[in-house]
Amino acid sequence: MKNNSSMSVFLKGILLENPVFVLVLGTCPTLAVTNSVIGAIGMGLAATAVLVCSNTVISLLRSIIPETVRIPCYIVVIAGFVTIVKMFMQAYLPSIYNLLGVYLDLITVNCIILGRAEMFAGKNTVSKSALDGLGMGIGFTIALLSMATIREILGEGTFAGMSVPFIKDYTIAFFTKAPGGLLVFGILIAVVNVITHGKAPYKKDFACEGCPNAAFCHSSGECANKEENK
Amino acid sequence: MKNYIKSVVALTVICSVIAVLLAITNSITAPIVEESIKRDTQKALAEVLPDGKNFEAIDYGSENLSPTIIEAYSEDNGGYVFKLQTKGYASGLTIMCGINKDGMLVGAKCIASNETNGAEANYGENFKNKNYDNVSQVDTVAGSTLTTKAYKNAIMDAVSAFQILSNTKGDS
Repeated sequence: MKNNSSMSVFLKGILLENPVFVLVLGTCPTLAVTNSVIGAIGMGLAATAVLVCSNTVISLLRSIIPETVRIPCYIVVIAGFVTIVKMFMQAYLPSIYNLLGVYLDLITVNCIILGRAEMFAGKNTVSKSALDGLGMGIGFTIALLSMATIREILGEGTFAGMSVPFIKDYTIAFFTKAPGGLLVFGILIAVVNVITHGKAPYKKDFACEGCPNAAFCHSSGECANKEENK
Repeated sequence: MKNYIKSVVALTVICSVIAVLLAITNSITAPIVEESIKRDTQKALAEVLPDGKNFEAIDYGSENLSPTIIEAYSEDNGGYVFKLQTKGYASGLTIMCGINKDGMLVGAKCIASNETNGAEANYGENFKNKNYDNVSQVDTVAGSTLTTKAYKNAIMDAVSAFQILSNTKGDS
């Protein structure tokens, strides 16, 4: 991360390092819940809550957590928060709880959350980590929302359950299914690439710290060297 | 050696703290969740058997009913509501159906499903005012044959169960 001022830490998650469209993390929930706008918002906000909490706690504990068992520690913290969010949702928002179903539990293994814990919270101060979590969470929510808007309007002729005049007579069911999701996903990645052209970080900027497999990689540091020797 | 101990201690402490947090959250939310499940069940019961009073879950263990039936409720007027779980085209199909004291189907509603066609949403309407003798005449829906066939079979299990339950009650 070149520029670490608080504002840019927060803002980068929204577009420049958008977790879905630029980092391409968290693809499973992205494809699964974006056939309805309500589900996408619920998923986005639940993931944001977990992301802010887990980033904060992991950042607080970063000097206590031993290097060798950090991944299990992160997962325990994340799974704990996911379960807490899930319990509150079941109690206070049962309709969204039912809509998200198993994908709510799967927030635990969402790459965005583990990725941010590993890439950012494990190395930065508490306030920056919380901001990073918030920015990434909002970026995730916006990404889900934009995909869900396109898929629900074209596929069902509705927006958040309200029917859209004209389009509702010409719905394309393809968009509510997985292939339609992949198509919209691909097009949106292309659009974001065009918008951020030249500004989005290149893969090698992340180097090993950006790689989800860094913890288990036996040739750490070599990828960056290879890039430079080209 | 020191590092190993440190890892074990850190992980144990983190897990214990999280476990305590979860226990606290659960103690707050569990009663609310239980309440809302109860409310939803009562609402669904009233929807499929609007005239019913004082629904009560019954134990039908000894009656040898079809395994499709997962819950059964009786009410003061002698009607029954059955919660049915069956398998349609893609996955599970959960249906509630209400039968009044004369054995007439009053309402049937799909409360949870993951079918591809959505035909199950309104299919229950077809069973209104049908009884044991003519429920088999309801047509399945073309294009959703597997879903509606499973739906219909489940309803038939329910009316058979009604016959068994109401007969036992008459004998005693």
